[in-house]
Amino acid sequence: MAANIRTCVRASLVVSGILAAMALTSSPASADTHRDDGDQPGTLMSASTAVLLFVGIPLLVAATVWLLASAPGWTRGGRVGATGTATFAGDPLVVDGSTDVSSAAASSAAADSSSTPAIEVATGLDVPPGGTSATW
Amino acid sequence: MPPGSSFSDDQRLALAAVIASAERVSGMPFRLYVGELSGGRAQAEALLAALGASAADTVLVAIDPGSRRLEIVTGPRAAQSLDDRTCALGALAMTSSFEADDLVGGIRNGVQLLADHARHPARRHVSTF
Repeated sequence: MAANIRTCVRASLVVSGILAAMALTSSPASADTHRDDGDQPGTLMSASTAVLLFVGIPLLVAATVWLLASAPGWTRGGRVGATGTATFAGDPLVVDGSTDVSSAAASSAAADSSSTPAIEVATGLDVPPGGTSATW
Repeated sequence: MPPGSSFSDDQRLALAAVIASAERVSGMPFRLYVGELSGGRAQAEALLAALGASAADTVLVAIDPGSRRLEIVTGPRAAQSLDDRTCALGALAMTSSFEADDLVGGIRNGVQLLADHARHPARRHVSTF
């Protein structure tokens, strides 16, 4: 019975000590609730000014970053004509293992691009070529 | 105007060396075409078909810098060593450099990648039976 009383007293002392320490350390924060001598509060910010500062300026910054990131892509895209028929400046270059550098202008002009050819392999089967396509 | 006049002499020699190296590594004929590809994929396949009997073994890399288009076409027998997924990987390697306006570097990286993937493993064991 006496042990329980001592335990309760000890616990209440610990709790009261913690509460007192918290009240002492938080007193500077509550000191802001009253004005001091020489205190000069500023004018209140209007709602439109607050929106401009905290919404308008971040939006402006984001738009500027997006513009700077996207502008190079627009410039590169401008190299292709409106119909997508931009041409390579210069004659075609063909390189293979047998010849160092040769022109393929004649062979490429003669190539029929209207249909997809199939290459006949030794087995006699018409097998479409493989590979992939890409743009940049 | 000489062929491929948009490239300097050093660049053309570098491209020739890249193709020769790729053929040596992979054992397959490579062909590089840099020029207009107004016909798109069909024109690239026609360029490969125009090679005749060797087309089935050939890997054609066709690039149109004007329209920013890349086509990799593999003949049926070449496709057995170089599947479409590997070609897509090579295309990605090329276009990554093309976006930085490094045409020759992109061709070098992509063709080397294709050649490395198409390389047949060296035979380590000889059957004694």
